[in-house]
Amino acid sequence: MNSLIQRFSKIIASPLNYNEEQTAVIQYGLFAIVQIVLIGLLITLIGILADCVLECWIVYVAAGLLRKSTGGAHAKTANACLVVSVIAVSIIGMTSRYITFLPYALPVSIIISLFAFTFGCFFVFRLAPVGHPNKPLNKPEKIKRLRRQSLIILLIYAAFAILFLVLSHRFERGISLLVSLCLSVLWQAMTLVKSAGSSVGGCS
Amino acid sequence: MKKYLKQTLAVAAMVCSFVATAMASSACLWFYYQPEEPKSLRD
Repeated sequence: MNSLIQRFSKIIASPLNYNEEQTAVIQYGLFAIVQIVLIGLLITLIGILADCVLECWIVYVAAGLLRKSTGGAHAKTANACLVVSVIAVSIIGMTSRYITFLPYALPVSIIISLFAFTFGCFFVFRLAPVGHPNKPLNKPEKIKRLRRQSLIILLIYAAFAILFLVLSHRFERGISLLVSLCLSVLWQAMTLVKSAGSSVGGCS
Repeated sequence: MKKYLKQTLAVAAMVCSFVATAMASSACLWFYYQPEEPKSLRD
């Protein structure tokens, strides 16, 4: 995927007579766009097949947005990232969807959500933000800003979790949306732990 | 035709640069892969 994006960015930049640095910026942006779209398409496809599109998208957006301010473990290659992300989002999406078919689904889901959200918040409070050698976090102001941002995102997620819980009385799917949101927070928070690097085939 | 191609490429370059700049202020790019950040985007 890297070499393909490199080639595309050169196709865009060379007729515009961009220098090396400008081409690198285009490549960086193009990489983000391709990654966002590709993972989105794959999880939508899996979601349609497994009847859990909404849950998969909640996990994808919630974990992705939280990850932008917390950082965390990374894969060594772009392809490994794609595989790990799609598998993890799909598994969490499916788990959240099918948990509602269990007996005592409501109390079980509420307990799981409470546990996941609380542990998720704990790890984010303790460890966020986590940098990467390719994007180190050196400035104390930036670290402070990202930390504040993570806490604000968690507060917004807590409000959404309450909304989903309230909605679950009228809307059957509300409870699975609640579980998917809380599990995505826990999943993202677990990637902040140092040893999580090996689980995604890369470094933390 | 060539004129339109150049304009299209300029729009694509602008979109990519905008996304790159927006991503630069965060802790990582998106999900589990972090390519090397361009020097001009580092703080």
